[in-house]
Amino acid sequence: MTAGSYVNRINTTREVKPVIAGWYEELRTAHADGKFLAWSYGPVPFEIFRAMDIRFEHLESYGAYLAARAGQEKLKQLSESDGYSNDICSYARLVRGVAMLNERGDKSSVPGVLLVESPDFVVAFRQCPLMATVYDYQKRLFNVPGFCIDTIPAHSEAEFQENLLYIRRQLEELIVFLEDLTKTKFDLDRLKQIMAYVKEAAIVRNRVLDLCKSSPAPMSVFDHFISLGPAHSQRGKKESVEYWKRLETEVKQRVDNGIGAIKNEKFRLYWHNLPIWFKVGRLSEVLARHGAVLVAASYTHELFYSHEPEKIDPEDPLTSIAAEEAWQSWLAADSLRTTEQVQKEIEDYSIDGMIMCSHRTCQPADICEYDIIDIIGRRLGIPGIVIDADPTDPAFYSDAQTETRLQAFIETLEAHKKRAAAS
Amino acid sequence: MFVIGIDIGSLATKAVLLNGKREITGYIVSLTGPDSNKAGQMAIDRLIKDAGIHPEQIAYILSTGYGRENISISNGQLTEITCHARGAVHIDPGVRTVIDIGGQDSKAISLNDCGDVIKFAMNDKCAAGTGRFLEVMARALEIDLQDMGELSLKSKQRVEVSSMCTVFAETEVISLISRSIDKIDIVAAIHRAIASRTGNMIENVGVKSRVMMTGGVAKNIGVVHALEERLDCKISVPQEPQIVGALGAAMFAVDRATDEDDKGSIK
Repeated sequence: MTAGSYVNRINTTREVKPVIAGWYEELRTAHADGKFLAWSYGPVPFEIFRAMDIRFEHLESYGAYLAARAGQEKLKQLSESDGYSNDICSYARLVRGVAMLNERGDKSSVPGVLLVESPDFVVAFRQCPLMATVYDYQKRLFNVPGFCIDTIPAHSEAEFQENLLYIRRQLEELIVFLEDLTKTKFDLDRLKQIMAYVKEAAIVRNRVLDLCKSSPAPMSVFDHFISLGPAHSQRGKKESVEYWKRLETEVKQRVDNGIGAIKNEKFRLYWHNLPIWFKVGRLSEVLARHGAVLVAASYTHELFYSHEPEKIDPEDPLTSIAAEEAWQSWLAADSLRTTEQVQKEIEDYSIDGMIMCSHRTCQPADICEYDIIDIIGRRLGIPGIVIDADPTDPAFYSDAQTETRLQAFIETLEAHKKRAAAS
Repeated sequence: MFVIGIDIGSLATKAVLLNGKREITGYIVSLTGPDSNKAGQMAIDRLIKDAGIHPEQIAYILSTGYGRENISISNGQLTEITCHARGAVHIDPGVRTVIDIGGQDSKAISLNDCGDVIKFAMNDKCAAGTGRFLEVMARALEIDLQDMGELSLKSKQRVEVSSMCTVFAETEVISLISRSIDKIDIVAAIHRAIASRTGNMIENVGVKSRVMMTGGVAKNIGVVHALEERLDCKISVPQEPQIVGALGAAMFAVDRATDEDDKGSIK
């Protein structure tokens, strides 16, 4: 633990930084290395790209990467100077800035580590309307081919199954699209191997998540946020399985020795919605200072093949990929289904309160947050707080206001705990 | 034994001196200025001097407000949510909803029958509907801030200021002035605009009687009336609404200094 810090960071996560640096370096040298490069939006099938040796930038991951790095403000300024309103998705504004610099051949206005090369094609998953619009725009901007996977907003198991088949059919079409584009025959056996690694990594990852049900929690959601780096960039690779196994060993040791993710755990909290990527470190300290640890989150516990990974069938990889995408689509569309998932995590992880993050430029997930607080409050008596933020744009964030809300929320939890103990 | 609760807000610093019997021995309201630590120190020095006591007699100083972490002589700190709730309940144990509108923020706090905070909401980063908003509007109207409340009660004609943005609202006000609309009616419209914006936030936590309004804006009777109309309920205002947060902080300071927990609440 760093002197003066209340956070006991997981050591294995220190491996992530060079992995991510290497990943973006590969995106900067894709064409020099003779590789195709895709820009992608939404939960697209990375596994298929990997099976075809295609390198891929992913808007949300790239936005998160940029948000945590100096010099990124220039990218947003560029997009806004081109007429983009600052109310538009901040991920899209950042990547729009990169596209503008590439278009101008400008490699000096921002640090080189922020840039990636322009794409040979673009692929999107139509879960978020804005992503589909950005996809359409980028396709025309770069004058490259594109493929957009459509999805049905499911509200039942039957609709989920229908959507799964619908997405699966489109994945087959995507493969034909990629074969035509790259003049390369798709290798199904390679995809099966990739899905075997995806399955193994997801199962180990879920065991790590399960270990965090212990008290004190050995690992916080902030550590999980950092670990999304390998979950994304190494997905379907053996290295990903090895990362999660090393993490599991460290976390298990902590459980065995009663070591927590923070000093003096008093409250266990749930985080809903995307992280505030530029405040991960600060917020982990702020919460820890008040004895609060994030033990579960929608972003880490509901996505990335965390839903029933044992059902992944490497022999039928397209169905397994489609199932994950249909699952994400279901959660995005059905706030009651999302609420059931939140309730499960609150019960499984013995959670005392919910932090709902309302992101100014990413509103689709916000609408249901007040409903979730009301429903969970009535069912379980667990309170929640909404904080105003943005995944990448500091212009929509205030340290003082957010930290006051969080501290006040924890004070409320503490008062209730004392009252309950006294009665 | 004495304790001090100090509420360092964005515009004003408020401090309350309590004796061991939880009686107010003195209080002060001063401008915060750019250095919140200095403002807090000066307020405490003045409070001690005016009370004729020695600094050694102060057993505990508890700070709250946005500057709560910036004051070096504080022994502990709590948020203004918790402190306003405690102060309000001390003044009136029957209070179940607290509306606090300060210099740059507003908040609504819902309390249970034990006086514990069960839900709260705060304004977002925008300062519309707060004291700063009223300052800007008073400047645009060329009237004294302190006169706005009484003036608005004389309004005869209903006009609307619809924008929630301080800058746009100022433009709207200037436009109304240029149309020779009576300033009195414009002030009343401004108060209704504040009530409209704040009312939504208050309803989000639920309005339960009795309702108390605290913070500097509670001194504006026009805003209080507009809120009563918007929420369809009676709102009480304590004699000195600005010091309620500091009073709550001082109550917690007594708890901590005496190791009492008379409220079964946080310490």
